[in-house]
Amino acid sequence: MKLSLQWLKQYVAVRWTPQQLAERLTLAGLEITDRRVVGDDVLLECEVTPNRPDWLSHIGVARELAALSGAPLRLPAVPPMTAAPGRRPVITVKDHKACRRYVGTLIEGVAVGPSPAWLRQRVESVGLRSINNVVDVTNFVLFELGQPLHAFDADRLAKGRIAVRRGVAGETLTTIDGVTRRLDPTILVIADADRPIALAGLMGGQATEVTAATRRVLLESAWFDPLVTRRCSRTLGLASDSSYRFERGVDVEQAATAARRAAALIVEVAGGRVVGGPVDRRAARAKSRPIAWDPAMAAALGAPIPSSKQRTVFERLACRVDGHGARWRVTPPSFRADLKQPADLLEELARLWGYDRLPVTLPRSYPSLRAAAPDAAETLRLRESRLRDTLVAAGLDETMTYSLISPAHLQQFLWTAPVLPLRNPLSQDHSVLRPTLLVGALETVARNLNRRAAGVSVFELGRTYHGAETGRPEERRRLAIALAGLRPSSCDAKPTPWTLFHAKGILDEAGRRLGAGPLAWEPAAHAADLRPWCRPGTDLIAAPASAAVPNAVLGVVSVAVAGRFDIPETVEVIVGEVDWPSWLGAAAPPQPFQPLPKVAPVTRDIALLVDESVGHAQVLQVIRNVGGPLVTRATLFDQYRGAQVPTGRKGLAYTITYSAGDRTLTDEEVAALHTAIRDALHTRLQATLR
Amino acid sequence: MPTDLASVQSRLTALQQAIEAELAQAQDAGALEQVRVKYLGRRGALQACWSALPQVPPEDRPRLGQQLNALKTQWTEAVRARVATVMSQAVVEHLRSPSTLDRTLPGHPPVLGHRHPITQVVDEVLGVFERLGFAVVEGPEIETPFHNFDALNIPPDHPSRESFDTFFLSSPAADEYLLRSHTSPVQVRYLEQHAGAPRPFRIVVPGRVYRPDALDASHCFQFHQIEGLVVEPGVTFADLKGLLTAFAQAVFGPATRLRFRPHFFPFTEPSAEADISCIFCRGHGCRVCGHKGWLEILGAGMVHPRVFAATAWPSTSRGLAFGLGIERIAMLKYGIDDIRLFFENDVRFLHQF
Repeated sequence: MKLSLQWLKQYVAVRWTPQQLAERLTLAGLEITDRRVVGDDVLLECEVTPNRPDWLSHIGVARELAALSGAPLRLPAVPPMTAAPGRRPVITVKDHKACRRYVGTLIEGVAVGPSPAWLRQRVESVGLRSINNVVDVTNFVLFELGQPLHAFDADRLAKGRIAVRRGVAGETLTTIDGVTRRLDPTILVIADADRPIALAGLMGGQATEVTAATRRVLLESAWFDPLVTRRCSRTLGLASDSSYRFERGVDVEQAATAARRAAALIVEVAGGRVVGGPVDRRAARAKSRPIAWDPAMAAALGAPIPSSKQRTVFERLACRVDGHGARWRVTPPSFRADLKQPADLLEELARLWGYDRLPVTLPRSYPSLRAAAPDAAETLRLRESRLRDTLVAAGLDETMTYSLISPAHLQQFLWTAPVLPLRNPLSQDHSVLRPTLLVGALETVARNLNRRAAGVSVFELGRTYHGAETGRPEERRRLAIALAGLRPSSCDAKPTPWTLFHAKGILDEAGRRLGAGPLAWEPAAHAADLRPWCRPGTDLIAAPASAAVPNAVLGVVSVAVAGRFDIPETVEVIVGEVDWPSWLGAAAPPQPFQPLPKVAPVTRDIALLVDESVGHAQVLQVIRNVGGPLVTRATLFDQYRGAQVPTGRKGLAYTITYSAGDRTLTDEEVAALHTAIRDALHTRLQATLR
Repeated sequence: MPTDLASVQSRLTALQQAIEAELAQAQDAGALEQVRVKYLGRRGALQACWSALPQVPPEDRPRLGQQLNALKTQWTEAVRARVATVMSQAVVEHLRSPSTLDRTLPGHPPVLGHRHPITQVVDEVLGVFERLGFAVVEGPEIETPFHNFDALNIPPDHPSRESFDTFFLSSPAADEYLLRSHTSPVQVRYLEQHAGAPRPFRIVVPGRVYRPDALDASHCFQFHQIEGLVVEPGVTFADLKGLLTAFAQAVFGPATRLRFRPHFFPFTEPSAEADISCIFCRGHGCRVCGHKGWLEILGAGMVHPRVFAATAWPSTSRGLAFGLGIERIAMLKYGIDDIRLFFENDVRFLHQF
């Protein structure tokens, strides 16, 4: 809202510089976001929080300044209305909940014309356009007192009657902005004897607008319900300075004062006279509700504010303070509907005492009760943090992608499972909750490759979102990794491309580091159905025995899918996604320490030829089964196919480490074990020695 | 030319002496290779002895064969051992002499990954509060209107909901779900969970939140917040100032000043917004702080009695709450001027952190 400093000074003598004034208001909760010199005036732009509709006027802010500075508030004199005899307007309020008060004042014999300079200047100083003297007065009073007003051309009201009622389906109204609006019972209207003539609290109708020809004016000063106004405003997609105030709450008590003030000003600037006196239709007065206050409550601020000071603060804020000792009754003024309970008074006390004057302390019961052992949720978070550190140590960069993604991208990823769409997305590009992190991963890969990165090696720890048949949708914590292009290398090594085995190795090592061991990867069987984005023959899955759905997938992205994400087709992209909590989520019991061998272990190599269908894990299992505890390691150091290897077979070469820990193994023992392993590989896997 | 075993053996003895002498004499790898070729090479002395095998009487051949095999192993090992000795002597000599290394060459950096700046700021802030005795708690991003709004004293159709524009899920089910627009619903969940046995606690809640703001340099429909909640008897607004001052000085430096302004949040009363003295101009006024000298950094207040009421906590409960935006802190800390950079994941951006 805009405030004119000159205008403010009409009501309160502030001796502060504009800068000081802006700062004091800001520190009292009315944030001044901009301050501009305009001619001999200073224009203040302020941000009024929804709890303080009383600040939506110059007098409202002047009141605050008076309370802050102690300077007296000088309200404009509004003498009682002197009315010429005549018929008073007929006003009926049919919905007292929606319209708790309606003050109608008839003014006859006005001469509508341009406003005098002072009025035009005031109205324009807050950014409004001067229309004519009558309308300008209503706007002036709106910005002076915060009371929205409306002036009707009384001669154009059918039978000169006013009714406040709900709209009827089928009715329409053309408002002063020229738009014809369809009405219904959710909309509160002002009507004459025949038809709606204004949208209550929102905007007047064109047919009854004050024009140069207007001689008789019916001035409306009313109170409309915030919720009703807000719903009407939403339904019609229409907001105004009036509706803004009614939505936040206008002081029901000021309607008559505002009517008198406006009527007097109209008579002053446009001539004419009030006829018959104002008609004031109001619902039963709401009871004033005093707040029970005990000065000891101020201890919650952490400062010893004497009760005499507390009383001063409340009284400066126009509250009535009754009672004594520990039983005060503080009655807020009608314009402070936001003050309802002791917590609200506490804020007022802090505000006027000054937030900056309150001491800076720490809670006394520190340290608070807090379980020393992490619970399951905290364990999960700590494990996530360790997983992240491991992946960073492996050279991967952490990414964060959008949780809201494009259904088109999911389609490009050949995703067919159901997803969770938004009801009110901002755009199609971000309209569904991601069911997988891999779409974001591919976008990251594509973006970086297209910006000339030689390689991309990234991961993301994030949530995915899944619909449930009934009840609450599910959120899962996932890990995605993506490797593409060249591996970064130290300056003395030639860069080589990332491969599937790097991804597998990184994930397995993370598992070992977190004490859960590597994943039990299996080449996927029905790849085409489950992971259509994979290049056939590259996908691996790992599943805990209990789960129907694999908790980890890994594979090379097919050229077709990569192409749809604008990834150059010469680059191999490896991606994987892991439902990591089921793998790494629980803290693993500490692994028992292995005593260091006192004697050097013995190593023997073994080179095998096996069928292509035989996997590394099978070979390893045989070596470990037969070798027992004396085999401490078995590593694959070579694999080959080619001229010397028959078709359908492959060569695998392992180094086996034998150790008995505290004693030297004899050559005979090692030889016997090595032979036993070789024989077992032969009988169980049809491996031949090379 | 027939020969006998004895003469071959005497030749072998001579060769044995000769190779030992030559090995002892050889002082570098090249000389040793020559020795190896001379005795063990395809046309070497040992091979020549093999060629003599057919001339030896048949009954002596196996013995001679064994002897030759043994010598091959023995000599090969001798050459290997001498090579090792010579090489290590060379190494030792090299290490003893002054180096001619070009010490101006750059180091070889290991290839390490980078944690996302948001993660780094979250961890830093959580670390501060953990040192102040807070436990870290998380909650769902898909929320109910009750947790996101009603329990936080934000009634339907109230203007205060306006500042919390929200994404809703389109679900056919009767239950309405939304994407939380702040981390405050976790306050409600935590209070609900512990309503049966209310005890003092301090929690911080990191998390992702969503608001339908069109994407531009300073707005994004998703961002991250950290929420704090302290509930304990006798806790005061001054304590809130203390906790947040401790936080601000830990994160932005010990010279940081904190300014509290009254503000409005439906779920706190009294409420405050806090500004830190501008970290770029130290409060003198610059472009970043809009020449105000202050940067808005968080919202806070004392827990509104209605929040306790909505979660069935005793009406005498007292608490403090605060919430801060992670992107905002990261942008201030690193001088980042475009929020979209956080979610674009350009590795040239990520590698700077």
